[in-house]
Amino acid sequence: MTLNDSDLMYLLTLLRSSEQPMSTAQLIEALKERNRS
Amino acid sequence: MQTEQKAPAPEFTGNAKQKELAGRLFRVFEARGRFFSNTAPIRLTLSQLAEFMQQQEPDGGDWAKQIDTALSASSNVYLREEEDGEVVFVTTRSGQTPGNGPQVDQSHTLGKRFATPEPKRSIPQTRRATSSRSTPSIVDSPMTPTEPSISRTYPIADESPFVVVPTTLPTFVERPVEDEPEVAAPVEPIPVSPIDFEPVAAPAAASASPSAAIDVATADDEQIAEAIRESLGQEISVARWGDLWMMEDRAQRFSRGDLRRIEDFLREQGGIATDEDIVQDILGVRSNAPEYATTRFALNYRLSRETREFEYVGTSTDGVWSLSNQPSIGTTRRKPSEIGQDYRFLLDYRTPDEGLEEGIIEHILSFYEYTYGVLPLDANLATLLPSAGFADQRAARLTFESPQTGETIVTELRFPTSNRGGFIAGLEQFYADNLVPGAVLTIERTDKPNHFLLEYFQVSGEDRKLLHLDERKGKYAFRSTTYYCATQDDFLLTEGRFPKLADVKPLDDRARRRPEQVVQATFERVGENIGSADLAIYSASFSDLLAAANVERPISAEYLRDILTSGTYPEFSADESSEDVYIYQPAS
Repeated sequence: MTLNDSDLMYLLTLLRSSEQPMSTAQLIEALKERNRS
Repeated sequence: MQTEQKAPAPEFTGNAKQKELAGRLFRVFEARGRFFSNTAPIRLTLSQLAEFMQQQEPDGGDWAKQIDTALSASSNVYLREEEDGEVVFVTTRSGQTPGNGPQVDQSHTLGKRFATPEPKRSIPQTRRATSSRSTPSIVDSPMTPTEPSISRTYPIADESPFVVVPTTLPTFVERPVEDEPEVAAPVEPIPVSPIDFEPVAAPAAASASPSAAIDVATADDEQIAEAIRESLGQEISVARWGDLWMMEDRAQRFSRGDLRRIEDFLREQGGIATDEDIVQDILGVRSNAPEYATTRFALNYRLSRETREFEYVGTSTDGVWSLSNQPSIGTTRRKPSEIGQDYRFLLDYRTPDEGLEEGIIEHILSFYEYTYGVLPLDANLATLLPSAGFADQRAARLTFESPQTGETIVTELRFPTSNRGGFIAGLEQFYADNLVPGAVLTIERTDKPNHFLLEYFQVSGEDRKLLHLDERKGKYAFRSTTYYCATQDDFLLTEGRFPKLADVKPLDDRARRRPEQVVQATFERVGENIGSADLAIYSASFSDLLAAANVERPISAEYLRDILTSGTYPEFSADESSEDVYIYQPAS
């Protein structure tokens, strides 16, 4: 199971903009939030 | 201040359409040679270029002819060659045909001045050069950059017709050392192999992924988490520790001096220390400092690359570091790799029992576990234990506290690999002092993920003749034993129950590796011969087989039942006339 390219790019962008490490739970929430909006 | 040097755009010739096409294709060459030097030739065949344009504009007509004409018109940029009947165009990132770029005077280069005449000196081998880390490191052997692997193409919202974004860095392979000429030979152009272009604009690029992509809208959290781990885990630009992610280039780097101080600190601490202690005591970052979490992450990630000096023995949430090559915890009577092999079957049985109480499991100690001081990382125990901090982590340090004895036992959790089961090692002394095979244990989680309570039920002393391995004689023997722990009778190996095990020699390792041979031998040792003296047929109850088979090797109840009933081994069958009794009919 993998992410599609769009979701992966989104997470990479998110990580790039974050100065703190992010947890998997935070990334899941971010993906869901993006999907809702 | 150093700024990026931007090469001037090449000037194309021909009519407007040819110039436009030559310009578009030049970006293809640039992408193809993005890791090349400015003067290294970038080669693409006419058919590759035509295929690319055909994918971009299927209705564009005869692309091969148009490209041939357009690129040939810009002969100052593209060199047209024919190889094996195929037309190849060659250019460079500087927009010059190979060999026609500005000539650089190389008669007095710094490298030559240092190397001519070659000084007689031996270069001491640095620790970095001998490091066994998995990331590319600088070594003083000839290296040849290989093809940057283009593992993925991303659609980019841009006007440009295509973007090829490699997500992995160029890999380096060691070239065999050949007889070097006295004078350094000119650098050979890097050979270029053909690549297949993928249409990037189309969302079909996602189909390049080897496994199915999930739909975030419909997937549950566990599926999304697995997809995140799988996808981000493949990105070399992303650093991971446990369940935390960060861009690799944002994770702080540490100097060799820092690493040496950490190594010394670990040595002072007896070879092991927590990441928190290292961050606070060695790196001087206090726990309330804003950069504390980032530094802790960076420490764990960076040290995980220094496998020669350090080994991670923490969990996904608690960082613990030890010096490499520390003696492993556990029995010396059997190698950890062999125990892992014995537990290989656990990889196939991953469903925990239903109705487990949260945070606590009960376990009956088998003869094998007692002998080697281990606990199997089965599906039940896995519900309690922490996960690894790194994918390739070998072991984690766990402590078990016994409220009955007041002692704390340091153990090692050996994580499962693709062909070895996981287990906990280091309990042999505790078992020998307090328990017997068949003892009932409970293992309970605490608020610390690497600390557990190990309890047994204390009873007034019981005297039984129990099975032991007489190592001097290399035979099993029954000895009078007084024990003070509650046991489960089904697993108790008493002389009255298994008299034929007395004076039996343990199976050799070849037989122990074959579970069906262990079950056969167990039938012969504990079963009743219901056949004849000439044609033996053995009958034994499941509970007897389970207890006695675990003398030789670990076999769970589910695994044993599968061996007896799956039909893979036709010599075993269920006795239809009795409940949970099985028959073994040796092949005649």
